[in-house]
Amino acid sequence: MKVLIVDDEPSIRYLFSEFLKMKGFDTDEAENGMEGLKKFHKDNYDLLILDIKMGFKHGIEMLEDIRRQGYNTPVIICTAYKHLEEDVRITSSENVEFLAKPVDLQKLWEKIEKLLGLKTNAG
Amino acid sequence: MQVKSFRDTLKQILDLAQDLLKSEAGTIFLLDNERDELVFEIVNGPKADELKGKRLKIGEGIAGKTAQTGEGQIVTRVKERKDFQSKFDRATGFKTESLLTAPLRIKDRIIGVIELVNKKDGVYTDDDLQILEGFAKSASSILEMALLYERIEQSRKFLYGIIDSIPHPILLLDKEGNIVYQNRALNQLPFREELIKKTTKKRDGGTVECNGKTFTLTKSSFNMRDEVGRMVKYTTLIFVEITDKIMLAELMAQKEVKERFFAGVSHNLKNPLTPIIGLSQILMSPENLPDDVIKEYAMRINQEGKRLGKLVQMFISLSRDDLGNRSWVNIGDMLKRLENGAFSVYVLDEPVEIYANSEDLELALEVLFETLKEKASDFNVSCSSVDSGIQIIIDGLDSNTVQELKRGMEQEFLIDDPFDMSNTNSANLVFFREIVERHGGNIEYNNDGIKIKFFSGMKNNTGKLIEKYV
Repeated sequence: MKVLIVDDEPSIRYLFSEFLKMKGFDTDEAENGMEGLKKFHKDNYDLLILDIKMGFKHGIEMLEDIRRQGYNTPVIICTAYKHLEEDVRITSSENVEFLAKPVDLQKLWEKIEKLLGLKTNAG
Repeated sequence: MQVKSFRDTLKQILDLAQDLLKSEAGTIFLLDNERDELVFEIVNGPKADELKGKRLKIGEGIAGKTAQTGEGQIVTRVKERKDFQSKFDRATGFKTESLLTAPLRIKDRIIGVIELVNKKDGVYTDDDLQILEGFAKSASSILEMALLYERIEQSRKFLYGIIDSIPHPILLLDKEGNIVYQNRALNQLPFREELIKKTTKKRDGGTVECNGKTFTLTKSSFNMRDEVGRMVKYTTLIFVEITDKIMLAELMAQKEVKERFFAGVSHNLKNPLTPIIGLSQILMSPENLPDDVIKEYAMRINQEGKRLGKLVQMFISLSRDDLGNRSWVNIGDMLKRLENGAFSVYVLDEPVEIYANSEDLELALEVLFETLKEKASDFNVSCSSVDSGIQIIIDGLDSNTVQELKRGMEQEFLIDDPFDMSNTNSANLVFFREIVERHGGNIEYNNDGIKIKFFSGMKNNTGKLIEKYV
């Protein structure tokens, strides 16, 4: 499975990438929504992790664009702004999960499991 | 006859009639419609003062009958008339022998009665009555004009009364721009003449700055009759002081900007926390990691920790109201310490020292250079003393960097001044400006680069000016 991480913070991209690789995912990175959209159209991704506020194009705009184009790819939105979360809920609530900053990796993993249906019945 | 006030006109009419018909005394009664009474309005004669303001019922006495019927009367011997009101003679001691009355009209409506008393050379005749009635009739148009004048005057007084009761300064001008009236609020302003001078050529809705105060100017025009009844255009200028409102709006704006800025800084604080917590979580997991990965993670945690520390320090500096501990700081040395091979520093003359909070200033310069390093491939920093202070010039920035610095949070939104508080995208730059300004300096930003100037006239903690150099 392949995840696209879109965040303007290099240290956050690095962390998510390291963590997901450890979990067996392939990862790709983009530093803003514009670059993220380009990559999204070039490759197939199973999951997108978007920062809500970035230069060039916000995560929220990128999400709007891909949904408008008919893609229903699961998305995790990372935000430190509660009010922006509301904006996203209006745009799209299907296949979208929210994560508050600072991001806890355990919670990130729980969201990924939920969105990708990875949770086994064993536990 | 020259236009006079209504009362003056009545007096003039009575004087003329009294002269014409050689009478000892005379009265003009005016009708009080509310009470159906005649009032002794103008009185000529030896007992005039005692009679003024006295009243008579309509239909009562000779004058009262004239008011009721609209017909003039001749009374040659009052003793023979039962309806003669002798109470006024008794009260004043005056002796009325004969009377002549005629109604006073305006537009066929009786407004009062003119009464002449005691013909000096004989008794009143029918001719006298005709003369008085004719005289009263011709006085009608003069009275009408006088009444109009009186009303204009009353309107004017009413208008001025209203204007005076308004707490804002008001100026009334005629169409030539001459001052017709200035209200009490305007008269109370010590700088009124300067304010009036500044309003010329100002448009409606404009603002006028005077004596440290700001006024909005509202102009409106209206027509009013002048003293001879002509319609004349007047202009009112109302000044509403908005100094406090402006100050309040500025304070609110500053507060809002500050809140936005702190919200932005809070957001920035969360960024290094994510890798610190996340990488340490991975390190604590049972996962077997190679040594070089562990080292890499530890280094990154350390880096992010330092970054976080810097942000916390910025936060603490900004939340302090004063400058904190200050000492003489050699700017050249400070810049060289920060140089670290990433850019070139030229100190053009020494010593260049300012009285500053060394920690704050060094942190501010450090975060500025960090921001520039992130965006620019290369740049130069020079420091020199100029006429009025100390100047740091950062140049050699490529045009992309200049553009990048101006980029706000939105995709296509460029901000004029990246150092402005409203730039929530870069807490570093805003922090830099705040610290520079707290030290009595300023920042000029344009396409050529950044110029930071600290002036010699800096103040110490007690507000006293101190010298530039030690």
